[in-house]
Amino acid sequence: MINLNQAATSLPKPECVIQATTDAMRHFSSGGRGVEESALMAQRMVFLLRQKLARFFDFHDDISRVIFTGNATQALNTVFFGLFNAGDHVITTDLEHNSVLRPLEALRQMGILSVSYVPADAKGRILYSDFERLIGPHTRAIVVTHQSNLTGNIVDLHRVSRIAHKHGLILIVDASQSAGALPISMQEMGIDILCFTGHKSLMGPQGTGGFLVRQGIELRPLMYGGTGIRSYDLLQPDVYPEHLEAGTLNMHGLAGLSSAIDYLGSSGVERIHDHEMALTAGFWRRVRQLPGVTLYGDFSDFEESEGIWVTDPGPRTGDRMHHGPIVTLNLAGISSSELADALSREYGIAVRAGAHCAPRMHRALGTEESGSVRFSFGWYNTPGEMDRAAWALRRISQDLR
Amino acid sequence: MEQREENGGRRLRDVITFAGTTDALRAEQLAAERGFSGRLIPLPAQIDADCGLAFLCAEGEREQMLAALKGQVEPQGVWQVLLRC
Repeated sequence: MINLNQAATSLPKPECVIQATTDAMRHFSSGGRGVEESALMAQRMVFLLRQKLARFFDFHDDISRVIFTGNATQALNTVFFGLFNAGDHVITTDLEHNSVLRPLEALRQMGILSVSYVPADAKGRILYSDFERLIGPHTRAIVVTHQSNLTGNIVDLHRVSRIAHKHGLILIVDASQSAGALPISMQEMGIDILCFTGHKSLMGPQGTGGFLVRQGIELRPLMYGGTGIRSYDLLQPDVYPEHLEAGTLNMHGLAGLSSAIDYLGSSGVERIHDHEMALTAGFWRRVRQLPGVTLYGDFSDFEESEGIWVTDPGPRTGDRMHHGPIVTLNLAGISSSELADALSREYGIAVRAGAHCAPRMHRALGTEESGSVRFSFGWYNTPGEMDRAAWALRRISQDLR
Repeated sequence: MEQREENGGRRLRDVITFAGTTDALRAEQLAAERGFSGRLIPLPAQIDADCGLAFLCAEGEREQMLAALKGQVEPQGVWQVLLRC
């Protein structure tokens, strides 16, 4: 199988990640719940992983503020339910995934929160001035994805953080799609809370994720339970990370994630990004003029270079956006589900079809009814695989004529 | 020898406690980097009938250990405890 569904989860995982995960299953006891060597080994691994992630995301605060959860959704829920108070107003965007939209909507329906959405146009672009326009007296935070999971459009976090901090707002970033695929510096980008998942471009196991939260931002726990410390406290201890980490962590998965971070460090995120983007640009070049094809997203990076990936396309101004390793499209005469099925069954190519957990984005693109087919590229994909996928798409397109 | 037997084989040892697990592990890391031979132990019940980790200083290394922690980790307490080790 050619896996071009990397935005759902990276597959395959690096061999060292598989090895570290299985080694942990052989040797780790329950970290935080014992002091035998096997428990201490698990605890040390988690401690070192907090240090590694702080370095990886250029996070300068205390590593006790690197919090682990089961995935990005759990991280976002922990942040939203722990941060917002009655009467708060939040600004988010049409680009967001349901992992952002649904918890915010739940808080809104509880009467706690009001939410405004920065609209996207038919290319999935936003106007940065809209953030400023939507700020009101009760606005507490801006919640924004770094990269749309549907179009691949990349949000310029520098610009959003300048607006957020000018108005004293907290900037919360959903880096589910970008962490590991794009360099992220919390310091330089002015990110206050960064939520990530371990199993996408970070190349770790599913069931890992978390967030990094700057000192001075206090969160109420979402979950209550065992911490391995201060057993007689009636509620969660106020010390981080235990304050926000109730229950046994996924030590086996985190061991894999720790190895994945080492792997990313030795491979280099910039190099990975260039590899994935070269494939994406090449695919775009091959399919953009297929009869009946509709592409979704802002491809101005590729249009300027005629589909040859330029390592540094330069800063984006106005409403133009950089693009990540995703090409989403539809072909006239075939539904997105049929196309995905044909690619899988007839050509052995895995993609994602239908709606992509981003309902507002689909509405902006006009794909609410049709859905769309997403091709997403990863570190282990090859030019040959990209070429074959473009060829398969051309064949299907020809069969439809 | 006589004193050891009186205390059931226990000796007075220096133990440092912390607010949470991450600080205890950071203390262990700082100690290892400096070649100290202290180690993590279960929080002694004589200090607190609770759970968690504490750092047992190697004999004669308490002051060096506290100096290493300075500016890096804030100890919650420094104790002298009769321990069987």
